[in-house]
Amino acid sequence: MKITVEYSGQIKNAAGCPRAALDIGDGVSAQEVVLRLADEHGEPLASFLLDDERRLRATVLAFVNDEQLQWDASRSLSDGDEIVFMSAIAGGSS
Amino acid sequence: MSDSSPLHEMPAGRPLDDEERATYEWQIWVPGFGEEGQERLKGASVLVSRVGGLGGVVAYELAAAGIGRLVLAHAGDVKHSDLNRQLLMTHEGLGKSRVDSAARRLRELNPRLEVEAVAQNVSEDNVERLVGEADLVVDCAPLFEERFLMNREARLRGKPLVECAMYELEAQITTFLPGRTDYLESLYPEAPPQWRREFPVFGAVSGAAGCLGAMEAIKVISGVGEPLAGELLTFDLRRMSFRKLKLANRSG
Repeated sequence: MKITVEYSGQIKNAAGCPRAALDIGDGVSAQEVVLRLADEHGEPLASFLLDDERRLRATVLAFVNDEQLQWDASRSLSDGDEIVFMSAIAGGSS
Repeated sequence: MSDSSPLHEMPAGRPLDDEERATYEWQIWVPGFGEEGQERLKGASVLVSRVGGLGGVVAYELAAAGIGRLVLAHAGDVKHSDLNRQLLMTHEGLGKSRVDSAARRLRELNPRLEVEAVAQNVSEDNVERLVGEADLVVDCAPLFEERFLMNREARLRGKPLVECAMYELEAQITTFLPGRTDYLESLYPEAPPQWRREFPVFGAVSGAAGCLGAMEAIKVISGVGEPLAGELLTFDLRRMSFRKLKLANRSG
């Protein structure tokens, strides 16, 4: 099953690319994809994505097909799905 | 006549005079806005913090649209590094108060506009008063601490909050409405440790985000169109990509 992952905000720099196509196995949830990305990329992306309890960090939003992912509600994926990760920004000129 | 009512209760509109009807004629023609929408803008007061690359364009568009009163909060003096994006600042204003420069430019555009220029950033000391003076808040602050303060006060007082943020070639915009949406603490419960006050951006990006934020304020006040309630608009001008993302309602 193929999905697309896209990054927005400062997390894009941590991922090293704005988007990527991933080949994942069948029956993999969005939450499992987040954990895999953190483990396979390592730092600095891992710290952007996950908190100390290996949950999606509160300063990052994730969306599956433009709907916000809620970490505690397992979200199954289908071929062609798209996950967007968005880190909090605050510009605003000083 | 307007055929829309604001989703959130706003103050009564104020009648227009002939000069105002002539000035705003082209937007009064907009279906769903009309003279009633224009009167609502005239009767409204908006807090914009701050008035740099993003907030300055929000304030400029609101002044052009005929908002009745703006409360502007921004400390400090104009620097060279402001001038790639802070369109209310001028080369001649270097070394002088940013917020005074902003107020002067806005009054040149719209002499009917009432402006309160506060040469301070939003802080615990002034947030109650500043938010209390406004019917709607447009958050354009560069630090999450300021954003959380305005958010807290707007939520406590039941005031709409237009949240605008930019970074590099990207922006995020949403609108929080009392009783209808969550507020900022549900979107981002804490400040990201990676965020810094200085960041890469083009003026054309902050300007684009500012125009969208101003339009959100106009919609909430006048009732025209549909504000981004429960939705987050993001754009990436590197690819001219725009997305409208559905936010989870965490407070039920």
